[in-house]
Amino acid sequence: MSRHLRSAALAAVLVLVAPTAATAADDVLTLDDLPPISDGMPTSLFNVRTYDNLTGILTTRSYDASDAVKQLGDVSAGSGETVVTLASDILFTSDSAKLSAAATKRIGELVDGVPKSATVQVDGHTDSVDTPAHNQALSERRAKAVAAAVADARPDLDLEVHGYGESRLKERESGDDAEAARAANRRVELRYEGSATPSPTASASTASTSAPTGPLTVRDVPSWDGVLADTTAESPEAPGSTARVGIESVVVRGNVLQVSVLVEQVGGAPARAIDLVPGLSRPLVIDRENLVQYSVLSNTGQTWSTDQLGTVDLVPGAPTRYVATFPAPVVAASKVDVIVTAGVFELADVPVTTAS
Amino acid sequence: MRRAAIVAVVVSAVLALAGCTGGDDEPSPTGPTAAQPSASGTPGPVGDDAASLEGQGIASATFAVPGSPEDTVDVVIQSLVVSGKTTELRVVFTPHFTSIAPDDTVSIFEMTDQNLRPTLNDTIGLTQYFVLSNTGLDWETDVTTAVTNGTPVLYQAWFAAPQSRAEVLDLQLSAAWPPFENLPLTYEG
Repeated sequence: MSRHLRSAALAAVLVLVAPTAATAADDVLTLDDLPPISDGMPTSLFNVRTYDNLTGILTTRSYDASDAVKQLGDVSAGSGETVVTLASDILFTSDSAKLSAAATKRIGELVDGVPKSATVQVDGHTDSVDTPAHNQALSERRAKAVAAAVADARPDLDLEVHGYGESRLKERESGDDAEAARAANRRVELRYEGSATPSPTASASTASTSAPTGPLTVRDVPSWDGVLADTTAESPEAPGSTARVGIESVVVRGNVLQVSVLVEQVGGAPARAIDLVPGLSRPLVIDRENLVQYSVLSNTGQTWSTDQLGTVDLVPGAPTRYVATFPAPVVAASKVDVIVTAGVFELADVPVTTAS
Repeated sequence: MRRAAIVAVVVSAVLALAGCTGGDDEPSPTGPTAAQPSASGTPGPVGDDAASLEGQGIASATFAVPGSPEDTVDVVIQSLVVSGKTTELRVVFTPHFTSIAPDDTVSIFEMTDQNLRPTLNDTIGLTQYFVLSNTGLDWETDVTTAVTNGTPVLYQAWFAAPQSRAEVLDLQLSAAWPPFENLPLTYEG
């Protein structure tokens, strides 16, 4: 195919620039000396190529910040029942069933409008990572923790507490979106009759409309010096291979939050970053103080990140930098947790800075 | 990419014959001539061409070639200019490869280990801009253009003009290289 295209192009060049024998004698080449233009020539891709698709997703890609912000307590109502879904990633750290004071307070706010003396089911669920027995126990502990917070706020409610482990997955954990599906499956649900609307979530801060004022800068070569947090662990999907994962920076710039992640393979056979560190292309940022989770900005499956680097073998002996772009925090955050691979590569309490 | 170069030649030929070189301030978007550009877009003395590729531009940095850390590339951002519906980026690459023989050449594509994918990022408008393309061919200098060590080569690329009147944008040339942050835009006309 390409050979045909090249041949066509060369033919077009010859047609356009080669003077005829008659014109050569006249010395001066004019348009009149050229052969007549055929019907298709003026609009041929090789003669006139327009780049008029200025707003197509391949040339101009806009992102909706609201799609990438999740606050605690998604509410759905139907058939007379209300379901409040609490994302476990926001409520709990990995493998933990301990609620923070902020989480306890927020759960109390979410059940404030539940009808008096109503029966509320508190159902814990996990993803399918780890063993079914482990997940069953974890889901029960988390359901009990949430139930205790509900009981503190609303002692009048009748609570039915269950743990379902990985037996009732909400989404299939396969394909490119497996990590996102696992995150959706890790949840605690509150179910009750009626359609009371939980109190509003935290109000969003006003988006910036002015340009960043920071100086023109270029980062240095990636280095572990000065890294804010790091952890080393065996890869869950490349047994025998070990990776060091760290956070170089978490910076608010304009209306985005940019997270710079360093990855270095420190053991095992050479591997691609996405195989070594699952979830690297779509890390999560969690503000546990304000109970908000941020995802990488995405538009029709394309993310604002350097995730294409994940398909390249890591450079031995040196860290590789990955940068993922999130919405700016809807509530000012001083520190966040960065979840690269849930349960394996998690970095807690990473300080957030704002570009000057 | 070779097809892109041929197409660029054709477009140049058409423009030249029609007397439409785009004006004195507008260099022609040609691949093969990009290594020896002049301010007017017409052939000029070699010395002047070389001089036009020198200087620090509006930003500069030296990066290691991804996957080949002993090879480096000097990168100078000459300009980022919005004119009408498009934004033109001009970058000068100068290779310093230890892994090639003295007379060997290295292409723009090789300088980035085949990872050249310029992107302009607007952190206020939450928008990314990629090189304009039509049927898979990008409006940019032919990235197979090759030069010897120490020889600068001009790379040009065209993007859609910002949807908002952004004052600065971030430029990511390759995912493996850190971006130029807060790169100032110039608006013409």
